[in-house]
Amino acid sequence: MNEKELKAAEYALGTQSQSERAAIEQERLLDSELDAFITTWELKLAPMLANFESETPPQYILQQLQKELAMAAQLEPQESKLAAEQAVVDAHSEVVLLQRKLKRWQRASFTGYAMAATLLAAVVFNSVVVEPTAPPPFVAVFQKDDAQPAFLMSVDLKTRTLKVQSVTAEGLTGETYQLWIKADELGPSPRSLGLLSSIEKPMVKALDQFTPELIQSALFGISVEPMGGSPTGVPTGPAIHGQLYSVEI
Amino acid sequence: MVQNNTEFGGDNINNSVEAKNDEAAANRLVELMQLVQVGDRSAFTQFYQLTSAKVFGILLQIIRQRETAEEILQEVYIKVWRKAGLFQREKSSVITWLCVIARNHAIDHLRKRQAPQEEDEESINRAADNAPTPSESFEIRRDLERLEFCLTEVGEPQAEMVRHAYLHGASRQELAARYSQPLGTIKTWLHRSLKHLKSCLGNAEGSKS
Repeated sequence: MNEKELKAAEYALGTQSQSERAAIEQERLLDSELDAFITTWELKLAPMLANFESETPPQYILQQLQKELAMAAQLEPQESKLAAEQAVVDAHSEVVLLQRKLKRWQRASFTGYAMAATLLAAVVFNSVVVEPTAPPPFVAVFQKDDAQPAFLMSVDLKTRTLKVQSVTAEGLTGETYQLWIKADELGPSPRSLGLLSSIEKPMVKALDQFTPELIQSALFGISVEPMGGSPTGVPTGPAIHGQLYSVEI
Repeated sequence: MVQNNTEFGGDNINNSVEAKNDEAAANRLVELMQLVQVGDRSAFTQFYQLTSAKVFGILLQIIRQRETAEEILQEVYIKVWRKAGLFQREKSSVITWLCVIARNHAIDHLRKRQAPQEEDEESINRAADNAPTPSESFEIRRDLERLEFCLTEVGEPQAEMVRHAYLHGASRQELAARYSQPLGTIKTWLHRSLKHLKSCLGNAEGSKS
C-alpha cells in the first residue's frame, strides 16, 4: 500500500486536518489514481454507515429545500442545466477521442510555462459554424480515464461567448481559478480570459476578439493562481500536475 | 457497541425476502436519482423522503449539534441536486453514494469549525426512531460482518479507534487526546490499521468468490 493509497484511505476515514483534506480534494480533481483510491476506500469503509441510527428530520427542511429549488429553477435557464448534464453523461464515451487529443496538448508549448493545475475538464461546443442546423453539442473531457469533470465549459460559436461552470471544483481560499486560451495565432504564450471569481455561478465571457476558427482550434486551460490572478501574465499556479488536455472540432 | 443495530436485525430465513426487498428499494432509488439528474423536483422530494432520515442520523452523530445538523442537511441535499449527474450506479448504490457525501460534508464542517461548539445533550443521547432506510440491510449487514471481522484482527484499541473515527468524525488530534497517545503514534496506528484492513478485506473478497 503506497503513500498515495494511505493518504486516500485516511481521507476516506476522515481523520486528517482541514488543510490536508482540502489539499487532497484539489489533488483528486487532477489525479485520477488518487480519486479512484478514495472511491475504493470510501466503499471499503461504507459498511460502517450501517451503524449510524436514522432519525427523521423536521418537516420544515423539505419545505425550505423545495422553495430553494423552485427559485433556482427560475433563475437558471433549463437548457444550460440539461446541456451540462448531457455533457457529463456523454463524457465517458469521449475518452478514447480525448486520449488522442491529450497527446497533442502535451506537445503544445503551454507546458513551457509551468502551467500548473489545469482543472478544466469538459468542453461543450455548439458547433454552429460547422453544422448550422442545430447539431448535438460536441462534448469532450479534459481529464484522463473517467474521472469526474471539475468544470464544464460551453462555447457558442455564433455569439462567440463562452461559459464556464463548476461541476465538482470547490471554491479556493486565498487563491482563484484563472481561465486561459492558447492558439498559434496568439503567439507562444497562453492568454488570460479572466478569473473565475465565484465558483457558485458560471462565468460568461465574450470572445469577440477571436474568430470562430481560432476558438475552434484553441486550447483552453484553468490554473490556480493567487488572488487577483497570475502576477506574471502567464499561468504560474502550483504544479500539482502537469497533465494538459486539448479539444478541437 | 457497534455490532448490535436493530435496523439491520433479522435472521437467515428472511434473508432472501429481505434481499428482494432491498433490491426493489435500491432500484427505486436509482429510478428517482435518474429523474433527479434531469431536474425532476417531485422525484427529488420522494428521494429526500426515502433517504433523509439516514442522512440526518449521520449528520447528528458527527456534528452533535442539532441546529447545525439541520443546516448541513439542507446543504447536502442542495449538493445532491446540483451534482446528481455525477452519480454512477456501477460504482456504488445510491444510498452509499449519498451517505458518503453527507459524512464527508459533516467532517469538513467539523474541521473548519474554529472552536468546538457546545454539543447538544439531546443530539448525543438521542434514541433511534427506526425510520426505514431503504436498500441497505441484507448486503450491508454481510459487508459489515466482514469488516468487523477484519477490525477484530486489527486488535484493540486500534479497531475501536477506527470505528470511533468513522462514526464520530474524530480527527487525529482528538484520537490522540482520547487514547492519551502522541500524534505520531496515532498516525502510525491509523496507517497500520488501514493496511491490515486492506489485506484482510482483500482476502475476504478472494474467499467469497
